[in-house]
Amino acid sequence: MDKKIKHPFTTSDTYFEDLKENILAQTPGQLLDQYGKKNIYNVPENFFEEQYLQILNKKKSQERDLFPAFTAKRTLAWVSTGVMTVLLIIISYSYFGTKEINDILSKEGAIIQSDVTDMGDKLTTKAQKTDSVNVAPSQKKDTTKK
Amino acid sequence: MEDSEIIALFKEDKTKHYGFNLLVTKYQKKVYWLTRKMVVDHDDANDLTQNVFIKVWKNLDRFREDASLYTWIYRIASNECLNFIKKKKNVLFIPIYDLTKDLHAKLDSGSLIDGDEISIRLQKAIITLPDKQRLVFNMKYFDDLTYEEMSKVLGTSVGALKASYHHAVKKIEQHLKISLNQ
Repeated sequence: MDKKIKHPFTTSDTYFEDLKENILAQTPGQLLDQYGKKNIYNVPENFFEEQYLQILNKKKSQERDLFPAFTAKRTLAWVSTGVMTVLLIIISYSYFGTKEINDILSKEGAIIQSDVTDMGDKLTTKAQKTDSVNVAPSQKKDTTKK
Repeated sequence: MEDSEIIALFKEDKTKHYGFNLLVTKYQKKVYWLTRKMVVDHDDANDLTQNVFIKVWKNLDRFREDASLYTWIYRIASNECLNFIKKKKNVLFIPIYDLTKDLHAKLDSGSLIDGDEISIRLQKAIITLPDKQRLVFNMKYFDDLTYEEMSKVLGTSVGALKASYHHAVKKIEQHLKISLNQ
């Protein structure tokens, strides 16, 4: 139970046998206490020394990204998107606007046309009646001579 | 240097960068190791650490010193880790990513990882814990934070943290038992 596992880099011929024996000899809790705090992770050389500069660079690039209009490509992208949007709005308005106006005009036109037709019919009828009443005496048939 | 002195330096325009440099130097390793144990991969941990300190830069002026600087930075780091894992797990709100499997693979790949068989088995056992429980376990076990400090960092009661840690240890032991019997 008290056996300590040798460090893997001082490998002996029986290292793996010893390791297995030790693993089985200890409870998981003991293993946790013995090995749990060993840091198995490494970092590249000078990583912590260089990290401050990496942080500053990332911060600068993020700050630059807050003002994308200052970068040429993004400005172009924003402008072209804006132009496209405006064009789309104009086209939409002109299309739907014309259609709406046409609809209104055609409806109004139909009403006016029917009104005009009605009025024309009435005038014709009235004229016919008036013609029959106001015939010139010379044109009247003389029925008394016979 | 004391945290209050670092904050005072940071709040002055002339010494802002100097104060920030001192702050990063003081806490970068703690933040990095906290994130590294959570995400395993060095590049991910580096990215997260950078994000944490950028957030610190942006918000330190508004830091009211109700909590200690240490727990405040730890809280930012914990949230960064949990959000990062959450984002990785849910692609377009669909939980299709098996994080445990991925982290185990990273441990096996051996990139910037140097440990004997038992240590790696232990790390694998820790990785099987739910994310927040893993964070609790790491803070208590590796970083030696007190339950009171952890409570301030995670916004969870001391009782709940004790229970969480106890369950975490039991789960790790159980996992090791199964793993060693295989």
